[in-house]
Amino acid sequence: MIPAIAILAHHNLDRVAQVVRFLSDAGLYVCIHVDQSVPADRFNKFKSSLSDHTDILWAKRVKCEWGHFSLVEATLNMSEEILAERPDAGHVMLLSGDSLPIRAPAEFISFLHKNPGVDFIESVVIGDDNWISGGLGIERFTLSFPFSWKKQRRFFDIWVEVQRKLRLNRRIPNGVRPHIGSQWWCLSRKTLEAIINDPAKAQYDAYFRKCWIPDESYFQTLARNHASTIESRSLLFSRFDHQGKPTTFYDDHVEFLDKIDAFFARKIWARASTLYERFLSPLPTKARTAPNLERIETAAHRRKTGRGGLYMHGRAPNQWLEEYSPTALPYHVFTGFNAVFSEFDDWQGTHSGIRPHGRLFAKSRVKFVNNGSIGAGGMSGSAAIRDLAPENFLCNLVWNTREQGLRFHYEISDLPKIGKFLLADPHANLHFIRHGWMLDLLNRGIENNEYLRTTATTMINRERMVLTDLEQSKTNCNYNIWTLGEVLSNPQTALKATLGEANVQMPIILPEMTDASRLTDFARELKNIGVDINSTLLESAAANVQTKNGFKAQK
Amino acid sequence: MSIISKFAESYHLRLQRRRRRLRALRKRREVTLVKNRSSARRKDDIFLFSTVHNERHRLSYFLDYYRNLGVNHFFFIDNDSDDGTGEFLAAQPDVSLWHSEGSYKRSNFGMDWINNLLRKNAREHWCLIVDVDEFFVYPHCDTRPLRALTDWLDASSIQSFGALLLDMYPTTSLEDQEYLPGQSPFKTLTHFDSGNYTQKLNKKYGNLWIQGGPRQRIFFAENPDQAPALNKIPLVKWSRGNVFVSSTHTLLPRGLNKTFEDWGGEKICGCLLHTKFLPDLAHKAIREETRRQHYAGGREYRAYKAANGKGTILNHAHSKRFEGWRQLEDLGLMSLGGWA
Repeated sequence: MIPAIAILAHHNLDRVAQVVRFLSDAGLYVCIHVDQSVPADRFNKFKSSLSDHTDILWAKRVKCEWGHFSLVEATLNMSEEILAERPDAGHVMLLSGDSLPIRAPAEFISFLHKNPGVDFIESVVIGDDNWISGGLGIERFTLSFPFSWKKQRRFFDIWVEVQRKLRLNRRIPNGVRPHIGSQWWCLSRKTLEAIINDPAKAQYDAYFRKCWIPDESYFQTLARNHASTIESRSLLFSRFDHQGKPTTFYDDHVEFLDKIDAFFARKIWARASTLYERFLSPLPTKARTAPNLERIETAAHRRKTGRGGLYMHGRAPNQWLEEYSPTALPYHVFTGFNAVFSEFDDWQGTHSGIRPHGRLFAKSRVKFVNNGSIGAGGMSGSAAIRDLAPENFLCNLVWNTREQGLRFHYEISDLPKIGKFLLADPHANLHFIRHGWMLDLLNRGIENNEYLRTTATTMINRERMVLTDLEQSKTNCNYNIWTLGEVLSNPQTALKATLGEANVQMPIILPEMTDASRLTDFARELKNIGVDINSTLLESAAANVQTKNGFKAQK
Repeated sequence: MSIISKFAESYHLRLQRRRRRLRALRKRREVTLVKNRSSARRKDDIFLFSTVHNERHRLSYFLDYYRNLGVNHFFFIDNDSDDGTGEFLAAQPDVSLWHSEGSYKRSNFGMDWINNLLRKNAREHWCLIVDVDEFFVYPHCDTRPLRALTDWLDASSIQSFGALLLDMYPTTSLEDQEYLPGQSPFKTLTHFDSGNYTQKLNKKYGNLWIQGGPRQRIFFAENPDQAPALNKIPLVKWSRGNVFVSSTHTLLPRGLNKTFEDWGGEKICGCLLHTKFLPDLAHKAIREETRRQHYAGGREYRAYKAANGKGTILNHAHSKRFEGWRQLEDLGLMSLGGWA
């Protein structure tokens, strides 16, 4: 028994001739179908270029259109030709003109020799699989498709919609249990004969003529009626992206294809001369390891979901459509901590491993960590550049620090616009000490009562605004709000929370605290000059911590 | 937006497109043919279009770079060079050359001339439209020629390809560099800014407006909104009726400007490595400022002039050394967008 190869050829006939010659020389039967749309002169040239291979079979040509029955017809023509002319052909393997053998043909022959009568055809029930990428499912079988998908796309789409709306479903004939799978099968002579000689073939053909992409369902469905042993896999390796377009292989895929556990692969770029040279020459038998699909999957992932929080020439997600968060990763924001703990940044650096930036959104300039004038990724310290698009600025910085993580201070007198953004971002973890600014004000030792009153009142109002915003429904951030009194009496809990998920286990050494002994007096002084200080915020009661999705440390 | 105003807007753009094309047609009188070798072109050839002014020393590396990528034919417009640029180009076997003495500024920065050449020569061809200091980088460009990319774009029904203009700079001051003709500019211009680009959507034309990079950081820190635009569409499958509106930032019909995905995914895109900061910039800034032939009265060149001569250093602790397309892809400056 000798396997036969059936090739559907459309373009790049020079390459097809190379493959045909190679397979034929290796002792395989070859039958070619050339698309009727190929002009006569090019067909004749192709045929005469193979005239030295007299045993090649030429199937009756039909005009092929992607997605339509013509491809099945062409395949049937080849199958009939092979069955009639080559009585000792045990299997028929269907290939496209842009396929290449990736293992020595001798291996293929001996493999089929060991598996007589087995049909290698991917054939799965529609519905409970992820087989179809980007396209119609069961509707391939129940709707009709009179319009060309490539040339009359608009009519194609409209007609599908109309049928859905009017519930125009075609009846699936008896004896057809819709199965679907890769177009590139390898069927045994027995099964192929049974399909072709089935008394109901005319009826099936009439039905499949109106189905969508029948080349992926005709044989896959009918083989189920006749085959004795089906191995539901293809001997040809191919991959589809989420738009249903086959992955193309280039010269840099040599090593990848080397590792694939299949006998053929498609689709090969016609100008990938290294691939053609390598795989159309004697190949050593080699153990296959699992191919690394990572590269292909990365590319597919880029197109489909993209990298969250990244904004670039190819990705500009609509604000409302960005699935989860406008930023790439969770980050921590501290309010009031610098006023309470004199060496908070050092402490953060040792305990969380990340030294926080200063006030990134201070009105005068961007205060990067260590007083740097330029941040990660080349972010400018200019307030003018930042304020042109503060949200963009933050998203960029989160992206640029995606390997180490981002932490920074945001005091309530900083840019208000970004405050709203932080509240809405699920990646933001806010740590907020109410009235923390009082300690700062106290230690600045301001004499001017007028200035003191204005500043304190502004701070109280800003704080109130932030808290009101927080109660709005748009709040998606995680937050912990402490009063100054709580933090002063029990600093450990608040500090622990600032570390987030990381490093909660390690012993926490408390950082030095700002001198707060005069706080009660200072509060009284502020009250006396007319500032509305809420003294309960300075008391040590620790019962009313406000959190949302609070950290484990607190539970 | 109501249907009527939508219709009015697209009609307005249609008129504008026609106006641009007529304008290009009118401006063709300013351009005279020097040498046309494009008759031997084949149906699937890839073309490159560019306007040059006194770029003689940059040209040999430029031509080699793009020949190596697989450009089949070059179309140049020489805007009145006096440094031998015209003679050099006329002698190249794969170059067609036109000459223009017209004003660069009044021809919409050369775009009117280019639009006209495109109209006449580029139909149904993939075309690169770049300046002589721009070097195209795309996914897999180290292993796959341009033709692999354009074949894939054809198969994916994509007609335009976006690229970020990435300013390359040296580690030392801009004035301390030397550059010899034929040399790779990337021997000196080794670094770039990796993550300081902001974008907003231009509603009228539907393209992204991207700003940032070292030029905004250094020369436009006080008025950053005036920093140059870095969004480009340098690779287009040219159809009848296409027209560039302003440089290669904006095209019409506006569907061609949508080089990005707006529901989360990434579309394939690349970078144009910008070698503006070669040592001749200091001289050029003086010359070009007097010429006042550039966008917004050569504002950019004035800014360089003001900063130059003081030992301008663009390099900083977070600068990245250029390693190749894969690095740019990892950093998120370009994307594979499904091309495995």
